[in-house]
Amino acid sequence: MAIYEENREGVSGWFRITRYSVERALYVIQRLSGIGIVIFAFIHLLYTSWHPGGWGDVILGVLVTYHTLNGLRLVLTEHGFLIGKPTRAVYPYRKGTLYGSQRYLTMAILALFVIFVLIWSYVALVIPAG
Amino acid sequence: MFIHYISGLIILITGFIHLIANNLPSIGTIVHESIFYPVNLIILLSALLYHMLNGVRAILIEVIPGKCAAKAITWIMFLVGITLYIYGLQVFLNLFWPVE
Repeated sequence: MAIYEENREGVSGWFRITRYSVERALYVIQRLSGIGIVIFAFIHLLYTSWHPGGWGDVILGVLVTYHTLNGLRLVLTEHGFLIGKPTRAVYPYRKGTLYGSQRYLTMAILALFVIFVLIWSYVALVIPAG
Repeated sequence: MFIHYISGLIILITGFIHLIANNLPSIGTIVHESIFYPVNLIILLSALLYHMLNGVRAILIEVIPGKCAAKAITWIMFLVGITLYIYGLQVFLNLFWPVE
């Protein structure tokens, strides 16, 4: 408890992303997009068939796509896929779990994110306009 | 956490079906008019409620430390979840199996 209290950073601690790896930023976006989706889902449940419409749909698509793809990455990582084997820590330290296949996985989900967002933006903006 | 991942994957599948059924005129209409649509919605509702309230619970427990607070948060989330689930099921009943 005491150590936990000492290390506690609160909500503002989420945004201290400098001097960390890119996964830290991905984690903050995962959390914020999750909160955004919860707000949407709440309204969508209470007022059935409500959705923001237009650019709101695009923003919602961005949140959902990111949350899904990064969530899949987290599931893979949590179960030990694509993080490499543990190695002896030798100076200069190179975080084995964050390089190699893990870094390619991160790049892949970000690339897929851009592709899916472009497709979804087309579906949400161009198709209803005719 | 395992249920969190499983429910996430279920939301990915059922949410995709939900979007297609509502937005694609060709395949969507077939799905929309079959019994599969309400079944899919009930699965989506269950998984989504668990996933989103467990996520909020994880954030709140991290932000508000303490064993007592954690227990209170868990129970509040549980009650909110039960309430929303009953509300959602009632909406589905009215939509798909209305009382004449």
